[in-house]
Amino acid sequence: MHVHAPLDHIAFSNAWRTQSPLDKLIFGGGLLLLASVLPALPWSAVIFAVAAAASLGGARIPVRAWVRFLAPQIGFLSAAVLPVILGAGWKSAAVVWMRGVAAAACMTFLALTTPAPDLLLAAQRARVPAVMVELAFLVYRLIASIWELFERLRFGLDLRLRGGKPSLRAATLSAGNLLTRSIQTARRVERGASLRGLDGFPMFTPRAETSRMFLVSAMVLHGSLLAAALFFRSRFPW
Amino acid sequence: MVNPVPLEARGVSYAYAPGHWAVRNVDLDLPAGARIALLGANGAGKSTLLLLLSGAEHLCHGEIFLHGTRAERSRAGLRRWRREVGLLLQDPEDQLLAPTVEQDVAFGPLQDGVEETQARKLVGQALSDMAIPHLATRPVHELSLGEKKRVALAGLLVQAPAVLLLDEPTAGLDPGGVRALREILHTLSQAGTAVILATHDVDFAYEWATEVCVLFQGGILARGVPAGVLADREMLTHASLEPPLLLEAALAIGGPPPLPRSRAEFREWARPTRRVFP
Repeated sequence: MHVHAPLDHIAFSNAWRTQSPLDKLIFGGGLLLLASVLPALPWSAVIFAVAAAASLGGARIPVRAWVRFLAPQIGFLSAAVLPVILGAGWKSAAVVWMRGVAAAACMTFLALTTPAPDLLLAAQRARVPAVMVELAFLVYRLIASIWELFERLRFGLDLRLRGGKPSLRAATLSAGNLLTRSIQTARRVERGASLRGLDGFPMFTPRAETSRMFLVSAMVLHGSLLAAALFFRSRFPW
Repeated sequence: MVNPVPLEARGVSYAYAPGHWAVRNVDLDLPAGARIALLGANGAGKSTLLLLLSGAEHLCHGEIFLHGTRAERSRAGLRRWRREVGLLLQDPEDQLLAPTVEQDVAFGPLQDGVEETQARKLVGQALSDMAIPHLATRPVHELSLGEKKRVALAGLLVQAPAVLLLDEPTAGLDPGGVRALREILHTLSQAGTAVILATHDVDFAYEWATEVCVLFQGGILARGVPAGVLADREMLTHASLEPPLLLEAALAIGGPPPLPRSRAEFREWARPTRRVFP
């Protein structure tokens, strides 16, 4: 039984977990920007390869997990370009699809290497209103508790069904149970927060400082891609 | 001069619905260093009493005093109450608020305005005291129940409360976890913290407590030293409890007082008689 969300687990355990979120945002965000402005062919493929190398080689995210998160996004994109084929033709659809896949790889890199709390702390440092960040922290804790509850209920249902598929009635009962218990969980967390005198949510400032080496490397990479795109402009027009 | 009794309850009563008393007319003194076990069956009122003592629930009747001063439910009064009295809930999940262990333990000191460098030192010390410094950067929701209990306890201890209330702290812990908890609680009471815990675990209460209170239908049925109260089989049966195994064995064997309180003491106590261990 997995009692924690797989995405969250990978974000907390990858090799770049301690790297500053700002470093990862600049690296991933820069690639995302390039994916949207450079010619789709061949640069989207190059950006996809760079994002994949950073995720799998740099952050050492397991290949299966990476594919598992990327595949639904690519599936969604593939379905979404069908109307583009009918409206604007194959060529435009291919461009949209390639850019979309490259962008999805960049976003997957960010999502799998940066835990949500790190992003929220970065938001706090960036002076996002405190009330929004505090609320997001509490919602994150609540989602983690409800996820655990969901996994337990699902496990319990599986045990009682002995591997069979749940009937509509069993699934509905479980969903109702999850809702009721989620409300109970929310009330109990509210009581716990009150017990601890929740009055704002002060947090330690993150220890991970931005790495000059990492940032310079990221910017050199972004610059190289841009320079290469400009150099080969005659062969791959914008 | 600071009152040596950090927490006193006088005539405390609470009803969840009119006429349904969960706690009725309880008087309790918790002097510094006290080790008190609240025993009782499910629904006896143990958890509710702890919630009342912690200020989490409003009293229907009675008064609570912190260091001799009546506890107030004003914003400042509750802040003081929560700094002086820490409550560990039965399910630690309910009181862990921050995403990572270190951030959660830091919650109290930072909330109290402790400067970050000092707060980091306090957090490091609390994690070391709980033997969990290796968990500092782990997300709270990936921990086991025992680890969550330790984190929640570290989050209370980092604020050095005068009184610590624990609701079923041994529930769900393995024997090693129970042993570690007993040692932590001993250290705390030696340092002057008054500790009161609610439990079904009569064996733990017998070994650890200096005073036990048996609750029945919201009221105190019996109180006193463990060897006296927990030897009263008839009263315990009435309260849906059983005597502790060690005490029952010692009484069955018969021997000189004082009766043994732990397995180690039992071995030493029984050896001269050569009745149990040759």
